[in-house]
Amino acid sequence: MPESRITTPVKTAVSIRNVSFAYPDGQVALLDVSLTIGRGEKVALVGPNGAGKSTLLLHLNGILRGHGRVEVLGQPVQDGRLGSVRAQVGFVFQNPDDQLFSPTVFEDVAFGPLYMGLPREEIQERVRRALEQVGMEAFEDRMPHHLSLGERKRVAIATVLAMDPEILALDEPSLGLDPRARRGLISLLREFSQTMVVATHDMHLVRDLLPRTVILDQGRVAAEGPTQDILADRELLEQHGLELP
Amino acid sequence: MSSILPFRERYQARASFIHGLEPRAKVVATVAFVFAATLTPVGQWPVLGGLALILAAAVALSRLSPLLVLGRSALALPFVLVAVPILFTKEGDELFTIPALAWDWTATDAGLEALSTILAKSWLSVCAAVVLTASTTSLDLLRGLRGLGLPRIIVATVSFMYRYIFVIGEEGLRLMRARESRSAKISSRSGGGILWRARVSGNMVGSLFLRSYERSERVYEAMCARGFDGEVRFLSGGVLRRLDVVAVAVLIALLTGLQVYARV
Repeated sequence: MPESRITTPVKTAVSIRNVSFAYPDGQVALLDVSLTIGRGEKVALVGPNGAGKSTLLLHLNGILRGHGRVEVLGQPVQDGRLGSVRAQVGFVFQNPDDQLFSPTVFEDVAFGPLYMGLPREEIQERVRRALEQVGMEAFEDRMPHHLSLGERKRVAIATVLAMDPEILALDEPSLGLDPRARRGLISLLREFSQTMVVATHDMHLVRDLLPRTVILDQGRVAAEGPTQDILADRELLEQHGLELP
Repeated sequence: MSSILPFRERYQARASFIHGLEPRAKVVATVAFVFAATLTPVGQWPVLGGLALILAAAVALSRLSPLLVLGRSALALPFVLVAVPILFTKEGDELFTIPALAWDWTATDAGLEALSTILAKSWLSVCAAVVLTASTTSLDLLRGLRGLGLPRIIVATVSFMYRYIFVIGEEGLRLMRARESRSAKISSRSGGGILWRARVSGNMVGSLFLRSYERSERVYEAMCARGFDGEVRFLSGGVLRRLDVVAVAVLIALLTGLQVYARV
């Protein structure tokens, strides 16, 4: 860990100020969104389809950039900083077939560390450790295509753990998993100490894993607060097309 | 997830001398063999026989079934048809004549010799490639090509193809299943004319293309999210042992010897 990070501790993991974003076809996805997430916080982004959850997540590492200001650990997300921002934000995409693009599990997990310019031995060590953390250490030489969805999700998480990020951004981590794989994933995620931002429809996962909830609807923050309070407000949930776990 | 697609790995797992060679060594050896076969002059049967012996030795050392190699080499047959006209275009003693179209087609002995040399050369080359692909996993083959300095962008393209061919193939299969599930038949009337069906197939190919295109965007985003900066990088590969170098050197010496013999 670099010295500077210890001497000037940043309390805020993510700061989003007045961010608006429209897709090239003119569709407005985010409208004046502001949100602050503290270090170590675990936040759920919920809301109906098309509410802007994934769009907002993609702003955290600068894959999408709209109007407004996004800061990650005190660094503005802008040209010239993208490399170091992306080293801090581990992004797990919704579909592991998009996330796992290498011919083998090993090469995929090694991709991030390789682009961070680490030496060969350190890369191998990080791959081993990341796969161990998700319980997939025996799968190094397998082709992602030959794994089950639950296994691919785990490997997808390992690909970002290998980069040792401070913040994990997960898009629909439990989508399509059977109940057992889903429980396994939740207990895996519970072990992580990183700041976590999770876009999901899975209200069980929200209840069990994420103490703070932000409801997005039509590109705006419709409500936010402790998950307990949000989940207790049946009317609010129904208003935004959500249901109780 | 086991594959439901008809195409599979060409690799045949064995513990053999050939399987154990470093991929780079195998690629160099195969390319050298193909070059030697191609450079052999017309009608040099002893040299072609020598090449066949080397190939037979490689098959024996690889412990692959000769029948498997023969079977897969049939892939070359359609391409051989291209060489058939040479039978009639070479000057030489007449063998037989086929009266067809506007003129008579006369086969000559020189033509026959040229044709059979071409057949032998292409068949030997294909067999060598079959041995390579059956004794090396696709991934090792990629690593071998990478290690030999094939441009990175080509290696990266091939590895993406290898990663996604099954994913996209299965997507296509699902599309086809969905079409079949809705292709109900009432009494004897079959739905739609051939043009209509062609258009449906065209739409399916188009939607498969669009999906793949969109997927490529998402894959690119996933790469960027993990620090991709436009330059293709790989971890360096395995080590060449003395055995690999010696094996390739022996093969190249044999091939050179045969080529010298053919020319004196």
